[in-house]
Amino acid sequence: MELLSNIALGFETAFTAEALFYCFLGCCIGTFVGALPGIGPMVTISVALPLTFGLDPTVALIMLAGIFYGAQYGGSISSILLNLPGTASTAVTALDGYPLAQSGRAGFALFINAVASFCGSSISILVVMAFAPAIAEIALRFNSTEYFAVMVLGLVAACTIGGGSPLKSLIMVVFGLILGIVGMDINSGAMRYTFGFLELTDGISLISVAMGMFGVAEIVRKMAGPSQDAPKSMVADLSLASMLPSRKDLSLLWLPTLRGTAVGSMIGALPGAGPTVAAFMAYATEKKVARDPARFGKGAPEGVAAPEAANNAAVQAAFIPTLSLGIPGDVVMAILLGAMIMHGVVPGPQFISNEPAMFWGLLVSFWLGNLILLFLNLPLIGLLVRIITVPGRILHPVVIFFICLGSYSVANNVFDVFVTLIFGVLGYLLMRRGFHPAPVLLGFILGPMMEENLRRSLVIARGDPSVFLERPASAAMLGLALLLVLLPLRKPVVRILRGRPS
Amino acid sequence: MLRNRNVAHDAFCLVIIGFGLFVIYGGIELSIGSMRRIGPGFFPLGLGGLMVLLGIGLFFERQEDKGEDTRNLRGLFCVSLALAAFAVLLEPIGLFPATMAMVLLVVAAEPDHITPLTVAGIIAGLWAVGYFLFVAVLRLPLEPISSDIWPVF
Repeated sequence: MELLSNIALGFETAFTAEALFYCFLGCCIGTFVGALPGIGPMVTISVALPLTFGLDPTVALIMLAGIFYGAQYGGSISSILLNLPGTASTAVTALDGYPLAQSGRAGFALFINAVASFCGSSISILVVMAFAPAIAEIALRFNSTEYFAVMVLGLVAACTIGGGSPLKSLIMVVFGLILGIVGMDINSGAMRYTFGFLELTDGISLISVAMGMFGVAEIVRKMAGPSQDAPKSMVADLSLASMLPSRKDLSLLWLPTLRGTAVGSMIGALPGAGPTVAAFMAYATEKKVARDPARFGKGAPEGVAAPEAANNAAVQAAFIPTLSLGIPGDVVMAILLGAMIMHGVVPGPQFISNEPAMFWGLLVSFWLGNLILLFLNLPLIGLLVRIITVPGRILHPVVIFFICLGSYSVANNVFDVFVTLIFGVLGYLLMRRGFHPAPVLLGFILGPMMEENLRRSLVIARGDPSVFLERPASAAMLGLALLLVLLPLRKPVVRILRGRPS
Repeated sequence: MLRNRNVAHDAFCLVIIGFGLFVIYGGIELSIGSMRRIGPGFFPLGLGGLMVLLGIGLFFERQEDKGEDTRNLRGLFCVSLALAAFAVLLEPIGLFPATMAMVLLVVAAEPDHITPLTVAGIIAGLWAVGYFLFVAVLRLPLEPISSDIWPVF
């Protein structure tokens, strides 16, 4: 019963004209930038964030989140029609979506994509509604010691689960934590690593770090790419009649969609994995259970339905750790958490009980947003295709313009534009050396919270650091984190001990 | 093993270790406090130490050859200059000239040919967006062209 009254509260919040308008706006922007290869939801949310300062915090988050999940819908459109994934998480969709489109069934592929995405999201939202409050309830019993341990575990997991070099990711996390220190220490008032710049008193701007490392660095990398020419879009029959699946298709697709949703909801809730990994895993699962795996890659409809359900489910499930613990699992969540903090909302286990209208309103708005996307997408595809084919040489100055004014508008200060510039150069150089910038932002957001909880734990324990091992929950989480760090070390250590490169 | 070492990689490891040491130095300067009451330098000190350890660890990590995309120093230089020009010109001269300088520099970074008409179109479009969205609606305290150089009578 309580759940129903909470959902009713959510509808009350999400059904105001303002909330609906910004939800719609966020979804539209998200679809467009998601479809455009090169501008991800990350950069867009960073640019949009300072623009939402005048809004009510709930409405601001509704819009910013709409950009995130809207981008998943948009990204798959360019994957299917152009074989050019708009966002990384929709890359798998191109494997079967593009062959389907080539064989003249583009409309059908887009229809499956929209419906599977909607199913994945809707079910996953229910999962969030069920689990987030329960997890928050447990976490409310945590004191600062456990909270510190959860953050350590979250960061380590984000580094080691996602793939790539865990060592490099750990270096990036620590770098982010260090960046988070910059500014005035709230306890002693000491200026830390500000080098005499008064503008750094409040710390480095999250938006500058995000836009520099993701926006500027990415554009520089794209410019060196092989072809700058607009991708040729195919002439596709996009009438409604071409989209509707037959009864046989439907009976073939509902199971893959549900499997994709299950994979996506589980993976999405883990830190570090996110929608891209979820989509890949869902695709692999379908291939494994299929009677005829050879069909995959040649236009199997399941190859579109499962990963699309999975990446959209993962996007929603990622809100579980973010909203129930205040610990972001990936970069976009880190930015959204940063947005909450900037709007004066305190994230953490107490969030759901302190701000029930905001929590339930957000979840209901996600569902409304997905409904909007389901209907918005199909008629807008023609327009989208024309926008996707805008070449990079026109797009790049436009994006840089938004990055410049976006950084400026945080504090109406050109200092932040220079900070963005520095992080852009740094981000590009790090990317060249094989370092991914995503963990930097996770560390940057969690750094101040970690320090505060470490300080409190030590005060309560009268300076005895063994408190972290004496409390069972904290010891378990730190032990798990240690295990995650040590596991990937197994092979190289054996190699070094044997004294020769294998 | 030593013969195949990658010099750039080793230098980069040293940069990371150096950065860690620098953070440690800053932490010590800030006062570490006691375990009962940690000072502002305690957390940075720990992180700096961690950074040094990770940097040492990186020495031993095998590097895979990626070599996927080429270095884009021209792009990096021009785009950096574009952001710097925008930041320097924005307040003293105005939004419009700053935007124009920025666009021209970004376009200079592109390896592809781009017609002057297209460039003019981009600039005009961004002027419109800048003025209507950022100045008129969002009320950023910016002038299209600074009244210092284009006095309004």
